Amino acid sequence: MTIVDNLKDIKILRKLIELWLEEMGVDEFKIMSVKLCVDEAVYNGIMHAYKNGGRGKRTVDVTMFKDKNLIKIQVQDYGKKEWYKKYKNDDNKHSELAETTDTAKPHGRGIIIMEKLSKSFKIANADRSGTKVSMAIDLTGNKFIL
Amino acid sequence: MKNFNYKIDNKKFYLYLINPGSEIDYNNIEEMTGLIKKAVEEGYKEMYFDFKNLKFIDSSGLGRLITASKQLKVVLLNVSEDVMKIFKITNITAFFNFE
Repeated sequence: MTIVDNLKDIKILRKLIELWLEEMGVDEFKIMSVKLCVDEAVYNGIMHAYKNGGRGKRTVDVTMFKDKNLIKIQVQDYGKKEWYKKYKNDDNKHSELAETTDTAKPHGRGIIIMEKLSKSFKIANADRSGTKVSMAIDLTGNKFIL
Repeated sequence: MKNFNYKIDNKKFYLYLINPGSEIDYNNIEEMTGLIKKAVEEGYKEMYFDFKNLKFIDSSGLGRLITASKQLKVVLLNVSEDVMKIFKITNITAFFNFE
């Protein structure tokens, strides 16, 4: 699905994800996890990748499929590269800004959420332009212990 | 479409979601912010958020709640187990009171 310049479309996308996963009998928390990860990635693409520049509409492509017990997700924007670096460093780990060292700040939580909810998470420059987020949500078990 | 409403009960300001299965995201946080602002302007020192109907909240909603917690005491009511996990994952439970 392609989201073009409209944050309201993300709500529709979340509903589609919900219907798709409910059909598969996925439990509610996993459904919420997938919705949340896609939501955060798409929002970041629209709001950060195209901020202060970029021509044309703010387009984000979302690809999702089930691979055994994983929901694999790819979100790609075509805006500026490396907007995420203030949240992640070259080792693909949290930067200090994203870490809970400053949970009082109202922003920067999206990448933390995606990392914690997914079995694997990667954000990197795309081949030509923009940024690609790749993640996999495990439908079995609990990745984190609270 | 209106997502939130409020009531004053026993001199306490309650914000609640109108519809079951509601979601808080960047599309409706301004509406929520308007009610937080109202509570602050009317002199309330604490605000109750009844999340009985909350099914989903993203980082923008969490961020707005944190901002609210800097202006008044934020008490979150009826938070579901699944939503609570998101609060815990993001390590922000200390900003709020839960009932």
